[in-house]
Amino acid sequence: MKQSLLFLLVLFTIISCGDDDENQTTGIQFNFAFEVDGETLEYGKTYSINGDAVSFDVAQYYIGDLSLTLDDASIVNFDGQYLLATPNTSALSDVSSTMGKTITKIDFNVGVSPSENSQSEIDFTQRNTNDVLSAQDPTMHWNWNSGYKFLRVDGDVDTDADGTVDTGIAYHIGSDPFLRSLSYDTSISLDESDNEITFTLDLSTFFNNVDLSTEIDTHTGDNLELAERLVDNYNTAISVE
Amino acid sequence: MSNALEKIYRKTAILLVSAVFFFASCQTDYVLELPNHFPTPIIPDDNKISAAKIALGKKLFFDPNISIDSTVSCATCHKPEYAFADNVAISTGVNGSRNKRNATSLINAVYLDLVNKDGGVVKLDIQAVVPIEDEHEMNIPIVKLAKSLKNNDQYQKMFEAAYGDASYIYAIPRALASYIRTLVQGDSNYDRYIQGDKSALTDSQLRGKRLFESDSLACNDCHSGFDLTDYSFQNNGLYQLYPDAGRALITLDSLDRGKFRVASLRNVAVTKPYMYDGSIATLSEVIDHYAKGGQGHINQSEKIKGFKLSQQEKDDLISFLKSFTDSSYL
Repeated sequence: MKQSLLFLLVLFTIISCGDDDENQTTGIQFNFAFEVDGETLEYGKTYSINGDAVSFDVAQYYIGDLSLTLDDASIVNFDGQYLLATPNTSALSDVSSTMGKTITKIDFNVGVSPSENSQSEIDFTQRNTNDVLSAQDPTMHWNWNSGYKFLRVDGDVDTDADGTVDTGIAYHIGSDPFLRSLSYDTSISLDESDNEITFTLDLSTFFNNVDLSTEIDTHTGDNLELAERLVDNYNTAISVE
Repeated sequence: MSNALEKIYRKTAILLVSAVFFFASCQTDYVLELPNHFPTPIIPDDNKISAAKIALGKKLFFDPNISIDSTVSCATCHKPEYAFADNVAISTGVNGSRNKRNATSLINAVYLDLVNKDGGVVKLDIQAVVPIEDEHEMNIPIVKLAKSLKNNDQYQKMFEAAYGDASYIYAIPRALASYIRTLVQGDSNYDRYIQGDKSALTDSQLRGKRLFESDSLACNDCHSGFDLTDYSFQNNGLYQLYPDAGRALITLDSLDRGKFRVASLRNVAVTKPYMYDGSIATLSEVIDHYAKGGQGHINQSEKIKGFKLSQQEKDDLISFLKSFTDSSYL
């Protein structure tokens, strides 16, 4: 039976990776990495995925309902807390009870739970700007459909093999049925000198079985089949270590 | 008490009284003027209407500076002279861009539970974010617009008067919603007729009314109630293959494909072209569409079965539809 650890304060703060990070060692640091076939993603750079030339200018997703199972069988839950995974950013969590322990399993959702996603009570305009569920730029709320884009990847692709990436692509996954739970077995030991967990999304794997030259967009509801294929790739495209 | 101290007390008192008057004048709930036969709309507690909110919303509504290149305002597509709709099939947004749906009339939007033709937005208080951020309309993230308006002295004062220290991201769509909530109309000849003025409709319009309510046409099955819509989402058989999924975009249910909210017929004579995409130019052609019984989409409403009308009957029906026009904003 799962047991939840009590902790006094869980504080997520999105910060940019940089030299300042070296001094921020309290709790756990969640890192977000984006890659294309193992190479670190750079916005605007042209990559080849499944033979198609493609570049990206937005790649981000929400992580919610995160829980860490520790080697003493206790579980640290981050209920109601969200992380916005964007390239080269980190989030800090002050959970000192995990220090000196090993994380054996990490569970989380890609997306936002129905209660927050509905917008009927508290919507994205009402949230504090420090809240990752507040209005973002690039936007992660869907304005025409009350709710959030759980995952968003935008860019350009070369559709006519002329060597120029000049056709816009937009893969926006959202809506309650597309909330996905992922679970990873891990052996991450946390101590004062090594307290980082890194979520990596590899876009080449994310686009497995997708023809980027013809399947250039989904806003979920307008192309459910493509949205389902992309969501099915989460498990292999996202790794945690 | 010294004179100097007395002067300070006096000035402070005057300032306090002025502040109270200012605050009271801005924050007092505004009473919507409603036609007698209209229900009282539900206004959310966190955005009760006030004169200051309406003033801010009206200024935003007509200000093209709320678009990315300062060329498109809300009124660009929701023109007062067309009952806050547009007279083209698809309105033009920034950089000549066009979206895929006809601009809907904003009259009586205060009564909408679900906003937009597909009901995708759950409250009017955040609806304005749709055109503001849509790449084919104003194309500016609400975050950027908020930062831009914060640098404007006049807006600063108006935001503070309307919403105190609330964030602009919160206040912008709510101010626009407050203004839109005041766009209530219910003083057409038809309204006068149903309130007892039996001379308000012509003989032709009365014949058209009987057709409208007849078993064979049954227009009032969907276009019913004080706002001439039952607010349901229906597929009216416009196409066999819909390029726009409509309500299914929101519900992800294929049975909702091609469904859009039944449009209010208020001011229908001045809001052409018609249908969700503005693909039908005239009322006469709209009647022809329903007379044919639609295109037979799998989700088409079973209420659309087709009918036959003589030219005189068609003229009478159109004449009746024209009785829904309230010229107070036109």
